[in-house]
Amino acid sequence: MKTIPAIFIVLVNLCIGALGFADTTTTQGTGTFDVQQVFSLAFYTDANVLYSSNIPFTSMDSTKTWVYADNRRESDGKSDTALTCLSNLGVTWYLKISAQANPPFTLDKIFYYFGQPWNRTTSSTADGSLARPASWYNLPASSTVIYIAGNNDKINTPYGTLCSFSFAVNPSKLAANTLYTCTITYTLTTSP
Amino acid sequence: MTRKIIGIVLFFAIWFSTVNVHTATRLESIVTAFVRPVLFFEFSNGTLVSNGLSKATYRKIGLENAKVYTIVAGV
Repeated sequence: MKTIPAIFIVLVNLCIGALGFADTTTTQGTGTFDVQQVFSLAFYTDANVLYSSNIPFTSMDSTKTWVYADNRRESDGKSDTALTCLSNLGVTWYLKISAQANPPFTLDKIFYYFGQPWNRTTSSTADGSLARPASWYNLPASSTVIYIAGNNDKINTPYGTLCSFSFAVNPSKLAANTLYTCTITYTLTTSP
Repeated sequence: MTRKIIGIVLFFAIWFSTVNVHTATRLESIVTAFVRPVLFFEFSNGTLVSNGLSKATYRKIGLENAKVYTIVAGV
């Protein structure tokens, strides 16, 4: 007699299952995510950023005191070179610049202009601060901070903060038929 | 004693491996500059000009078109 209710319960269950009221089984799992650390500096080029690792000043007129790089002119809205500073460390980073002039070229002959960077991830002006107001300055011989990251720069992935540079040379008193070179070093670091 | 030393060494090894020392990342640009030769010519009419000037400039300083001038000195 006990088998009759048991068979009845099984039949009811089968009917419920057939009607779409089947039991729901939920399996839980734990996902672990590890985002790789990014801290990099890369050249950026487009139609308005003309150069990267080589910035040419060919055929300078030594009767002038201020010459822009090839294919540049004053207020043309372009840059000689630009760097993408990328970080997801969540800490303040610093962009530094230094230069080494190869004799007979000297650092008092070369100047750089660095304005407020652009945060490509937020598509807005970067919220960090320039070490000195945007203007033309002589390149320093030792590594010198020129930009301090803002809050939005601390994690600026995936597109980074764009730092653009223009350069100018004073060719007066430079001899003709001589190739002058100067190495400019950009450093991205977390230490001021 | 040996165990203590090994323990200390292991502690610092693990500590250094967990501390992120972010060395700076660098890039370089090389500026190459070349000064073009500039020549100055002194013409027979006493005018001193440099090369590379436009025709308009030559006219402005008194040199007429289609007239022969003699260069008396080149610097």
